[in-house]
Amino acid sequence: MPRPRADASATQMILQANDDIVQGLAAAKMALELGETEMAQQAVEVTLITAKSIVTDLIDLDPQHDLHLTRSHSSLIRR
Amino acid sequence: MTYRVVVADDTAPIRLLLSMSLPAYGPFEVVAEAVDGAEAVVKVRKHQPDLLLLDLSMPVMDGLAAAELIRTFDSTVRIVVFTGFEAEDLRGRAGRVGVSAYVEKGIALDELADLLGGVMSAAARGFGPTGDGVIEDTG
Repeated sequence: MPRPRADASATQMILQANDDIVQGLAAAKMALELGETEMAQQAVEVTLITAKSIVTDLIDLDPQHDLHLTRSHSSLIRR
Repeated sequence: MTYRVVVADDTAPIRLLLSMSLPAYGPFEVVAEAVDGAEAVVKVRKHQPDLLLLDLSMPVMDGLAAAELIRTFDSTVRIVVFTGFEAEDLRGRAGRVGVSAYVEKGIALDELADLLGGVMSAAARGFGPTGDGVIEDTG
């Protein structure tokens, strides 16, 4: 069965959100490599806010869509 | 020999960190920064750098469109895409618009400098800006 296609505005939003997160994490990693811990911390904080806003933005885009919080897989973050 | 570099990225900390790290890790001098693709075109025309480090997703004009435009007036500047996207489609399109290398963000800074050095060494050996397309790939 073919997967449903996301509409163009949702796709654009996801691409932009993905880029924002990667940019933020890349900046944090680069800052850590250079010993710029304050800049790294700032980049992580901004990225965290950005990441959290993604779901809100997607829900705003389609308020009729039921929100499912069950994950398809466990979080990839490990100790 | 120091290579003159223009950095085009809409994320200010990334521009700053590249400007700090490139001269520290290799024979590079960042001569100008651009905040979007349109400004990248202007800065390349003005500064005629050896190398353009180019983000893809930027406001006003994206990196691929900027690269395409730059190639209409500068056939020698080496263009290296530095992006968070790993899509195969984008890598192929980057090669077609005259990009020498496609580098994914997250690469270690010393590796990035080595890779840029490799691109410039290839240029010094007489390879064209694009060769047969993308000559380096960190994906």
